[in-house]
Amino acid sequence: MTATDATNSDKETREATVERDDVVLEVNDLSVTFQSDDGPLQAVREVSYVLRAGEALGIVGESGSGKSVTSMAIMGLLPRNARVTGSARVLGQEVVGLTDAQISKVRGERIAMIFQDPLTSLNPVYTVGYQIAEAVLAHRNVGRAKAMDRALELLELVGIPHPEQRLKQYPHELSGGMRQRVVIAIAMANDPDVIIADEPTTALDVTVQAQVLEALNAARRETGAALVLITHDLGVVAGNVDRVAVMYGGRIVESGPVEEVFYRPRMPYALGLLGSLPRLDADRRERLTPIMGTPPSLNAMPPGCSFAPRCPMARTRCHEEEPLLLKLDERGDRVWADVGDPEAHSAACHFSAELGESTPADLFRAESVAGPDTEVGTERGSAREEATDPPAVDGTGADSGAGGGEPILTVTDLVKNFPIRSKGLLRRKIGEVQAVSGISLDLREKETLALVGESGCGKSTTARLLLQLIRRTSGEVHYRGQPLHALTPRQMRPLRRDLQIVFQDPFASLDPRMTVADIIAEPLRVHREGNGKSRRRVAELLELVGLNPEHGSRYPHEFSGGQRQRIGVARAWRSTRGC
Amino acid sequence: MLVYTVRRVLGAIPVLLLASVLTFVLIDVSGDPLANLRVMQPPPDPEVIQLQEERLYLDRSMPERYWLWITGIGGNGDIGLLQGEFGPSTQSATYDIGANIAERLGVTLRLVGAATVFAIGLAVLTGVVSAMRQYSKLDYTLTFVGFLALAMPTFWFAGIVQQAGVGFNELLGTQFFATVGDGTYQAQSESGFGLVTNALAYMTLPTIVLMLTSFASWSRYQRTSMLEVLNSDYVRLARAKGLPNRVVVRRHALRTALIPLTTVVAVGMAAIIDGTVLTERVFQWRGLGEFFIQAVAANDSFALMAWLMLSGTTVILANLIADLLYGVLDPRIRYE
Repeated sequence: MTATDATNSDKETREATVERDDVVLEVNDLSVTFQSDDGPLQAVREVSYVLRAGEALGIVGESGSGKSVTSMAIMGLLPRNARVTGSARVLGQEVVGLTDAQISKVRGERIAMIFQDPLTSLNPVYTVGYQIAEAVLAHRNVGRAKAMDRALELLELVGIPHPEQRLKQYPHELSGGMRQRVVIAIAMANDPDVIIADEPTTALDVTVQAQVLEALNAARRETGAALVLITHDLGVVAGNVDRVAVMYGGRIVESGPVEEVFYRPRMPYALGLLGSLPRLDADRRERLTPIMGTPPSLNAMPPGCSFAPRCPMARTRCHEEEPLLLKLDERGDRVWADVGDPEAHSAACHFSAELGESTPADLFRAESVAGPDTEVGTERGSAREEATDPPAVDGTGADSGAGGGEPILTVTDLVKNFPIRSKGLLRRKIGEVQAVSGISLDLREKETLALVGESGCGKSTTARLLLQLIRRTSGEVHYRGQPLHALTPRQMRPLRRDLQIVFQDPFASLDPRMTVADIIAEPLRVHREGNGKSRRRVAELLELVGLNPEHGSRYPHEFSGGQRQRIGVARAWRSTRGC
Repeated sequence: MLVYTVRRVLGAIPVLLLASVLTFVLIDVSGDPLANLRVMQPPPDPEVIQLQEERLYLDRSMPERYWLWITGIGGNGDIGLLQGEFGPSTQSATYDIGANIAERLGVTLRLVGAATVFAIGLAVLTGVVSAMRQYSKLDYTLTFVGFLALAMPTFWFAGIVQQAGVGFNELLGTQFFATVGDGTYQAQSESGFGLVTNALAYMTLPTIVLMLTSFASWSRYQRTSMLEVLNSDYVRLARAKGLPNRVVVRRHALRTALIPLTTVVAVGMAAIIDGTVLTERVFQWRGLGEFFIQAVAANDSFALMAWLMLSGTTVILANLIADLLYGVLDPRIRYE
């Protein structure tokens, strides 16, 4: 009780000190609760931040941490079963609780939003020009022609080549990166004061990401808008924002200037996020340090710190008392920071003072070997040690004895052409498009080979050709001396055991009507290796990829994307070890 | 688009041919057109039976008869689809299948057209309202009504509607609804406004009956498709632009949610044609449904074939139109 009293009185002083001159967005104790069949689910808890004119704030967190919901609440875009409390003021105007008619005057005019998936953000049945002009006309009564002129101007600003042609095209005729730039053009159509970009580059190739971020920066220069950049990609945050707020379990758990948070994190979670980031300059031998476990589910929030169950530093206090978002003063005490103070670096951790100069490896290394659940930790850890000596992710394969010896997979001059058909009555073949043109490569035992390239360059086609999932046009593929390209599907079948693939989309590649155990056991059954032991083998494989073997009876939709991908890895694992 | 249309029409020919072979065989094995004549008491002259057999080409083998029915080569000039003749009828020597079907087509088209238009209109309306007020009392009510309509057998519902019409007339003391007949005869003595009231009086009740099942299933489709679109990213972006709700719903949600309905309606045309058989029977319309029942009762193979080919062509045409419309409604579709 005393804690809450202190909170209230402190809050009053906090609010009193906020300078309001150039504040464009002020969020205060914003909470969002969804009504569901399982009772109320609190997706966002007392989020507060202040955004000044021209400033850029990054909001970072895993999926489900509440970062998108917060922004949708500000925009009034949440579904009807969401209850929003607290306050969000845009240029001093309260937007929480406005009617649809009232808030539609704010949307697009003062605060604009960019969504994650450019492929679905635009309406497929209207031209690009129409959709941009529509945004202009929603707030300015300037007439069709003027609005179209503005649309053209906006397309130029976001760097789309040949804007006159693009205006008349439909979204499906544009690439993902271009479509996202169109969405940015829509966002800047009415010179808004705030632009909220919700994972604007997540669905895009790295090279295209840079173009889109450049367009976003152009939009900011042009409109002078403040930016809220929501992402789970710390790399995107680093170069593009002034301040960063880390969200976990619906709360902001750490916030401060971007350098401060990156170089001196005060919360184990932020440190862990940094450790999960692959770095080109790091030693290849150095493993990534993943945070084990999964984010808490909203209907089973831990009573204390929501990160405590995954935190290697957690103590009894962490499991009992939820830490407040406080900064460290000069003496190392945790005190309230002014929400409006752009320099304040606050963290919600009882022991942030102890974090000091720890590196992610110091904190999470022991944890990643021991496994997330301490009860079975040691057992499981040992099982993993013996079975996983060269997991592809750590990149050590090449050093541990690989590189020498005979190649087990040899590819020479692999070519795949797809036919182009005429538009006439007979649909004759009138040409070919070369998807893969003359690839040669060797793969040795225990070697990890990376195929890198933008989407559409033929990576996946190559992978499918290697596995004979599609037929080659010409070229040869040899696996341990056998010419795969010359085998019939029937002859190929026994070899499929040794040649497996993990697909890109974990949501689409698992049969939703099969249990996880059945999915993993299927290859064993197909190759008649189960022999009654498949049940045990499935449990082993589940443990191997860090999932609870008891969850084998569940269906894919009960797992998160990352967990599903691990099921995909378990399914692809060579069904019997030893070659 | 033109190339696509030609290709589709050409593709429809083997489909129709195969359907005609199957139905021809099925009809042929399902009964003897002269069964009634043969068991007549006192037994007719064998010569009479032989004459009838020759008139109906029953003296030839089934494949021969099929060939004759298609081409008319070697017939008496009253048969051959390619020559525009549908074949002789068992009903009488003077019964002209082609003329009969043409006359009844107009009657049935009136009913089918009205029922389709109203079913689409109401389905879109209730589907949209249901989707926008998902899980509200209104949504549950409309869902209940929808499933009730789906579950109700047409003949039974037609009887109820007819009786209700009779009761309503008695209550009013005038002939407000015409509960019997198609009104073609009565329309001859009317003109101007009288034609309209006459049509309304005769058509209201059968239209309600015929459209009910289709309306129910289409409104469910429309609700699902509308819900999907309402939750889509582009509708969210449209809201984020600051467009008022009604513009978002009309311009962005409804416009795209209507696209899948075209296919559903095209497929549903078959169900509506089915429905005419029962509806016309109950309300005693002299339409194609009645024609079908008569043909079945009289073992009239060639009349049945004519009816089946006509409804088959209609269904194929409806699908073609739906596919072409798809291309107009959805710019992503390219016909090559």
